[in-house]
Amino acid sequence: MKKRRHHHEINTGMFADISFLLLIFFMVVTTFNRSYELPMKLPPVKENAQAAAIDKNRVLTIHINDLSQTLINDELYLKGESYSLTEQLRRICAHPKHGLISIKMHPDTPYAHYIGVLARLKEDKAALQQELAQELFAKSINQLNPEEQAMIIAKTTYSISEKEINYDETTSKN
Amino acid sequence: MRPRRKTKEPVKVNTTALPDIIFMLLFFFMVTTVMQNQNLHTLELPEAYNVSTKENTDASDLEIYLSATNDATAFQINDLHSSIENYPAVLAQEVNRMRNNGLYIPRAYLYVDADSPMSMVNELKSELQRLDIPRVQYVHNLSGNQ
Repeated sequence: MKKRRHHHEINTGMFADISFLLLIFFMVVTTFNRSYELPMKLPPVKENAQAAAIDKNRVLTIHINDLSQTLINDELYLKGESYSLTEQLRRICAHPKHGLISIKMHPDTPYAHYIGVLARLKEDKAALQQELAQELFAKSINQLNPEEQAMIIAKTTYSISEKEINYDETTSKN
Repeated sequence: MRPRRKTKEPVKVNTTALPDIIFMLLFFFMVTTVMQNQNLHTLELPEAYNVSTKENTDASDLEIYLSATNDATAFQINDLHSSIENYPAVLAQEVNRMRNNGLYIPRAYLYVDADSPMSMVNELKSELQRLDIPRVQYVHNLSGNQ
């Protein structure tokens, strides 16, 4: 039996509600593209300051040359090659005085490389803290009490130098 | 017995009340939503003598935009634009203006183009050191593989 086709009008009254629903949905699920910050505290300006001689064992050097190659303690990493600084950080942070990282870059190095190095340091420091927490307390860093956490943080403190470092020749010999 | 055939007539539902219901729900959720980290009921801040040297001052961060790529060179501090060549003067002028207005500058946010050479960034950092703004924040985006 053939149905008779009625010409119905579409009820558009629901459109407003559907759009409201969509509006609310997107309002709820939207995340704004936020940016993140890497904090750094610059040292005060000192005129004619005499830099103290520094023990080479305290220092991790990160150099980036004009070919965007990274030299970590004179070990060459090609452009784009990944590297880990966790072991190096462990070495310099074990020094009785806190560790020192010397970052030197060719003047034409893109800023992005600098941020890459800082981000890498931050990430590897977190990895080192996690490792130390496992070794010393056999716990994850989040499960430590504040004193233990402070101890881990004290053991992984370093400062960054972007100036020439004056090495102490007497200690670097042995 | 053959069922009686209904006569087909479109039933009209009155939808005029729907927007009101939606609005009501929207307002309900807007009012009852609690944002994260705001679940402290009341905070009574401790009292202390004013030991701060920043008396009667407000704090305002500095926002510095720097692009020194081959395609575009531009410098902006807060709302002030400047060419790359004379940015130190503009920077010092803006910082002095803020300080004269009693504003304390806790931090400088550096928005620097990824391709800018490090020499420019280092120069900017030295300027900030000279102006006694030691705390800088390198603003960056999150990358997928870092």
